[in-house]
Amino acid sequence: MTPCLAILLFFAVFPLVYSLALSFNSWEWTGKPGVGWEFVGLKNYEMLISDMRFWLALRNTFTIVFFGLLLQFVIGLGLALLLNREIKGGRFYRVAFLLPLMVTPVVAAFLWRLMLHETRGPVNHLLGLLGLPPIGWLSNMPFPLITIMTVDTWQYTPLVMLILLAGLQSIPIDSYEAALIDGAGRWQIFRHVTLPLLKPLILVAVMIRAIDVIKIFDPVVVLTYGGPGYATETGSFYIYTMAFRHFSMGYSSALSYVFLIITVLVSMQLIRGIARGS
Amino acid sequence: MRARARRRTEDVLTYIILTIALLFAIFPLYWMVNTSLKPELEYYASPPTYFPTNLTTKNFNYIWREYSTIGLFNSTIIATFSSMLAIFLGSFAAYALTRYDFRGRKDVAFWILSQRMFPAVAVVIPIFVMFKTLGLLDTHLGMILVHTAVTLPFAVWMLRGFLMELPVEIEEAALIDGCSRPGCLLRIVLPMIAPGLAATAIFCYILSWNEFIFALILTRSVARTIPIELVGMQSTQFYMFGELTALCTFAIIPVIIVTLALQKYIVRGLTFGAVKG
Repeated sequence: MTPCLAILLFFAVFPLVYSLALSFNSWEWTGKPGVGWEFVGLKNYEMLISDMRFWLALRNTFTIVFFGLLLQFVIGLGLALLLNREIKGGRFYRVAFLLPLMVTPVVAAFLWRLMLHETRGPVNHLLGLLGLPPIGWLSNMPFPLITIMTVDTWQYTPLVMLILLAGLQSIPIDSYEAALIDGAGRWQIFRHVTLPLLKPLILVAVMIRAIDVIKIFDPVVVLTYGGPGYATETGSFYIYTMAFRHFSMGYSSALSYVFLIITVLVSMQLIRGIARGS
Repeated sequence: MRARARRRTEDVLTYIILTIALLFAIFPLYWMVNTSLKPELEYYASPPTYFPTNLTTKNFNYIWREYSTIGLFNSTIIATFSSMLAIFLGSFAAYALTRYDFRGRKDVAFWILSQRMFPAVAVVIPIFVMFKTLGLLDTHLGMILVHTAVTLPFAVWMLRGFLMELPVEIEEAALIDGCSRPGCLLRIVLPMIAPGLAATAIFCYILSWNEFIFALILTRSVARTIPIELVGMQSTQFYMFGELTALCTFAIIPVIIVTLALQKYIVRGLTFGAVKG
């Protein structure tokens, strides 16, 4: 127990205390730890309030969270409902759908970058065969954001699907039978029996995905590097840029603190929602 | 009769939709293998070829012999040691969380879970400074420690789930027979959850293998892992599609094998044991 807590404290609590202290200082990284700190009080936080790039990054993050999750939920639920029908070979589909789930995120993003390449990728080529013009997936807004969402959706819809499928399979058959005897139609059964009973697992799926997508970083680095301009920067990516491209350690600590608080607040809210729902 | 016909139509529709979704899920992986087997003139051709006929292993040879295998090597080392450390430390913590009744037990468990909410960028600056001070930047030891910290919450929660499914009576019998607590854990409990232990270790292994942001910031050349290798190569040699996809294939072969072998544990791991899968 103790060594486990020690290592977690070491990597979680120490950094939080250190970066809180650092966020009240101005410090440009020079390669010498601890040298050149200059106390500036709340100046970093004042700067942050008027930092449009930071708020744009947050807006992008939550756009991806909202639309990405919506897409994953709709597709995931649809597939889970289909897999829940007893069909031959259902197991094969279930296993095959797992494949994208654990693929290294950097690899996943890179593969999509190849597929969406403007002139040499298969996606634009297939669009061309349908008589559609090529799309600048990584250069014309809002497509770069859509691309990031697509990659996340490709990779993690299977997770949503499997969570919901586990939920569907745990619904006792009696509940359906009771509804059938009462003469309920399919839609009514889905709306008044399936969905309410599935609610706890819907919340689990949404929470787990939301907590991850708020931190989204890997696909941004590989697909757009925040571009065009700053248009697709996310919270994590902007802080990374400030700290390790511009080396403004003090300012990025302040940014990371605000980002951390927002992330934790949103996650807590979701967890509370789940606690209430189940 | 009509009901049966209707059922059949619905089955056919189910297959059609599932197959379309499956194509969508598999196509990027197919495209990876497809591109990696094409010769130079073809992988960069426009329009692209969907079913190449001139297959070659040249790209794989290039990565394996000429480019570098240091990323694969480092990832193997770091993932192996960090996942072993994570299940070692994690099994003690999980055992304490399920078998001892102490105040704040739920809070500790929840606090461990909440580690997952923290964005990596929020903690990486202090870790970077600390590693610089301690000389751990770009070292295997540093990465093993960081990845242990990253995977530990998953390990604790997964193992906690396995331990909760285990009946306590067997341990109690052993304790009455004079077995000490640690002895009981090592000799009786852990062997009984061996499959769960293995699943947890392998799951942590993949998490470490796939981890990007810490590796990006804390390594450069000596300890760089496979994702860093890939990002480095794509930023300098983006148009070597064939070679890059060969590297991707090397990177995800172990992951795919493990995914297929571990199917039922993966959902469990990713949901922190909330869904048994």
